Amino acid sequence: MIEIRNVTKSYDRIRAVDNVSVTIKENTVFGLIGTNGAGKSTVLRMLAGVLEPEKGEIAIDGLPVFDNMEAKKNIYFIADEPYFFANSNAMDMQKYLRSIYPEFAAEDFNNYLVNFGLDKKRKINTYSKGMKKQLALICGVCSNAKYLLCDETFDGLDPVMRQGIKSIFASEMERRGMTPVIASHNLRELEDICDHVGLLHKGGVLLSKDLEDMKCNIQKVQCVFKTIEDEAKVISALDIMKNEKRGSLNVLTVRGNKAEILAIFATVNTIFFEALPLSLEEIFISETEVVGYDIKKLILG
Amino acid sequence: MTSKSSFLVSMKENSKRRLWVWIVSALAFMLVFPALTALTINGIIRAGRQVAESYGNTIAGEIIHERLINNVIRMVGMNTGMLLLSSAIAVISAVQGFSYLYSRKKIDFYMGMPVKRKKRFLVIWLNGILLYVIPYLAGLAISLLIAAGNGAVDRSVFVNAAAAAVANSILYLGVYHMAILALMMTGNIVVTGFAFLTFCLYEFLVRMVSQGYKQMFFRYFSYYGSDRMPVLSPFTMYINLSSRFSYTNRLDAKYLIGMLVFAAALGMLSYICYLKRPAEAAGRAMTFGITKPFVKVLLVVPAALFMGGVIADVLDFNPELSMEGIGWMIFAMALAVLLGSGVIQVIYEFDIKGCLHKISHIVISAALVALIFIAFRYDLFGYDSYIPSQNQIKSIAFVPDYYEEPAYGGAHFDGSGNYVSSYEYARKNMYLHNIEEICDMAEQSMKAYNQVDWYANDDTYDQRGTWVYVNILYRLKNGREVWRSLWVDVEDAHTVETLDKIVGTEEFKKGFFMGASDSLTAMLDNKEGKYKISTSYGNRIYQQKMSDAQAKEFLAIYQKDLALANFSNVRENTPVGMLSFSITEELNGSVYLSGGVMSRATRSWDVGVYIYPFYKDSIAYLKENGYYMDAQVKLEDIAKIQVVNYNYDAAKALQEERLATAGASAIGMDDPAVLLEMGAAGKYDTEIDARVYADYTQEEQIRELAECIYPNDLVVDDWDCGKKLDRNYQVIVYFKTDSEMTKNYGTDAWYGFLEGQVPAFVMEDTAYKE
Repeated sequence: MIEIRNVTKSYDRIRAVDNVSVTIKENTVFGLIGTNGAGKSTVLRMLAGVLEPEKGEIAIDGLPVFDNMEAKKNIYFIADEPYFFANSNAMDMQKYLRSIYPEFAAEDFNNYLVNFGLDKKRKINTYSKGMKKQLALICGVCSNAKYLLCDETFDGLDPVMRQGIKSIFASEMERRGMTPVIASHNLRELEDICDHVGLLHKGGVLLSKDLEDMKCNIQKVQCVFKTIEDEAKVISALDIMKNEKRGSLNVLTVRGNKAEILAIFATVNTIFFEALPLSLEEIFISETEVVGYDIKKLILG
Repeated sequence: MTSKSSFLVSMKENSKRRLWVWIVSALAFMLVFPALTALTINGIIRAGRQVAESYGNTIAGEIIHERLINNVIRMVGMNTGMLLLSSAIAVISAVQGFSYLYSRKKIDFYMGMPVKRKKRFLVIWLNGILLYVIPYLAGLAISLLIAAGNGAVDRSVFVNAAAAAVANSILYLGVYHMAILALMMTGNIVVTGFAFLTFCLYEFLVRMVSQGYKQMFFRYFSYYGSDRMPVLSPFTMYINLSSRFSYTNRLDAKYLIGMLVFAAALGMLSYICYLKRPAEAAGRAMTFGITKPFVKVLLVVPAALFMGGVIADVLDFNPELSMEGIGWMIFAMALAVLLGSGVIQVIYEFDIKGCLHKISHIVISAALVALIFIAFRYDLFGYDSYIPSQNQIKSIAFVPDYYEEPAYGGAHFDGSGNYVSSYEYARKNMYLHNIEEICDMAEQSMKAYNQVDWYANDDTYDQRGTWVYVNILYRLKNGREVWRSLWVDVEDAHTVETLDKIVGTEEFKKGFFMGASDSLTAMLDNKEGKYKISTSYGNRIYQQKMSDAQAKEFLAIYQKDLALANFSNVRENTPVGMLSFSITEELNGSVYLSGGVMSRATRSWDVGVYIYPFYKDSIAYLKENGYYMDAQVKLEDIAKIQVVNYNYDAAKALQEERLATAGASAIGMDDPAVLLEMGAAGKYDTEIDARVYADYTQEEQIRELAECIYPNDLVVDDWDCGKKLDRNYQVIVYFKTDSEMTKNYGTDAWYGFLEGQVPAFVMEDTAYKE
């Protein structure tokens, strides 16, 4: 488990991360969302032990991470611009990482290179940006580190590759309990991959919730009430976050669990009723609007 | 704990990352260095064939061997080329090894890895050392093998090579650590370059500024003890070590340990900075924000003072004469503060608009510059009036400027037989304890000297006294050494009385006169030593060799007689002769054939000891052993004496007359002020020639002249302002063609008359007549 407690970090008097507290559970995919400058990279760099927090504590499985080998050997950090040695090829990187990570999976590394179509003898500086990101991910996965910290790593990957990476993540999580922490400024990048999401804004955490919890606690329904009285009764009984009315059709985003909401609707007559699936985006819009932020401006652009 | 195998793996991986530096180092040391050695050897051997044709095989073999040894020592020993190469590799290695700290991308990669900071530092640091040491030692070994294969190796080559290996490695370590420290304190390569240059030059700049301002504003500043060469510099330390080695043929432990400690201190500082360096410093100008104002102010202040000094030099600013030009100095310093602060702030911010930021730094720098300037200008710390209190002083060295040092014979050697300056000799050997008298004299002399208006344009010049220069070293009880110069009036009776007491002491003689030390006797005793010493007595025209045994006997007698000498009696007398020691050190290197004899390149010094008429026992010994001469020239040798009177007074009068009647251009000078100044300083236009010649061949005239002439080398116009030759007259003695002098010395010799002892007939014969 990664515990970030009241962590603060500034650069030249500019506070990049302000009193952030987040807990990242093992064997989940944690998404760190935020606009540019929200502090995602700083949090990840502190998690990786690259930066030392000014205040607060970061513990990886109970161990402080900064310059602590016991903690750091469980971490592999893929920066937003991954670095590879000058004039090196994939095999050079493999040799180096094997000297650092004793459990480096060399065989898997070779297999992944083949599967992703990366030439192991080709110089990395001739790779495309996407290929470099793939290679960085392969290095990270094969390091067998428990925590894989990915900073904007999925940006620029094509859907096929994303799917491939997702399946690798799934199998590694299942096999050895790998815990990826993925930072991105794009909510849609994380929608289909994360179990838990933390939203950073201006250095602070707006929210950190389990995606399933969020999904279970917010429902979206569309319905046509038979009478105005029915409509009024339901609306007064529900914790409505958003109500869009198009003619007689009501599209309601409602806080609460599904069974309770269905029970309320059962007390009135409806001409039409349908429970709709919620996208991560809609959940975020709803959650952040509650705390007074317009998520569209923050993340969705 | 780091396991050995993991460390070795890390070393190997790190080596791969810096392969090109390994290649550069290997090429330089293992290819170019041995190749140059081989070429040098080859060149000597090829030239040797001509030597063999000229001198025959046996002699040529010896010549070639010496040349080979000498040149191989030059190649494998300490030398400037190796200093530059070692320093360059050190800087390259440091920057290449730790340059990942400049890049956020690389920092994220390396620092994200589970490798402890101290291990990473150790791996890079050690690799940086190995990539010098291994190729260098391998190259040295190859060079020595090449030399050995050509018979160009002996013990001295190995000694030099071993000494160079140690010295070059420590130099490398010092420069390497200095470059790492510069890198740790900065965030990009350009600023690192500036920081490294600052480390190299800062102390030199501060010393130069301090010395320049002391010289400008303090009349009692002594150059001695005020060296411009930086102390805290691996380069200076290496040069000192190398220079010491060239004399002693062994590495001086003091310099060696100093270099090592300095390198270790820099290394420790670099390591601490590395541990404290935040990852976010990548790309910034300065790693530690807190250092920014200090670095800026510490750079700007001496730079501004330096600029002021440069302007003062250009304008010939002389505060003793007038304050004219001080406005320009202040302007230059203000401009330097503004520009310096601005440029550094632009570097800090990487933004030209930053030049006017941090006005407070400009104000602080300007205030410090003003404060320091005022401190010098008004001597706020009393530098120029400082005489340590008598109870603080342990001992004093009193070092006259150019005193009793014959033109050929002023060399001094320390206890180990190494050549030193007279100041260094006195510093090590003179421990005067008549502290009260010296301090009182210093105080009185400074007071009197300060009252003299040297620039007054009046007729009081002759009443200003005769001031001579001396350096005084006050050794304080707390271990400090304070050097001050002093002007003393040798016409002042009280001063002369004190000088008699100083110069008359055994401590002064032991600490100033080489002839009073035991070193010369030791050299005469040590026939197998590195110095060959030969002794003669005479007046530099007539010289007689003295055997070593006699030289030792005479030296012992002289040292007893020397006890009779004081300031006044030395001043009032003219030497009757001089005991000369010629000291020669044979150098490794070129053997050459001279007059059918094989000779070796040498380094020579002379020590001269004046014999005064009141050294009764010495004179008795000279007489007893046939060395003494009644006059300075033997009558039987003289064919003719020619006297040249330069008539300087007449020339000056003539010059002034021409100036008044025809103007400056008439005598080739366009600036009358300059001309008058030259006249006052005793310089005369060479076009005005008032020389008058007189030749004397009559026996009676020659006899009279022979009794009152002295060889130019025997009477030196020195510190005590004693007897001196009349500068108007030059006496040329022509020897008879069949005399021994013509055969052994030359056809003529130059003499002079003592002031006030020019025979009347000579004055009359050589007076200037229009």
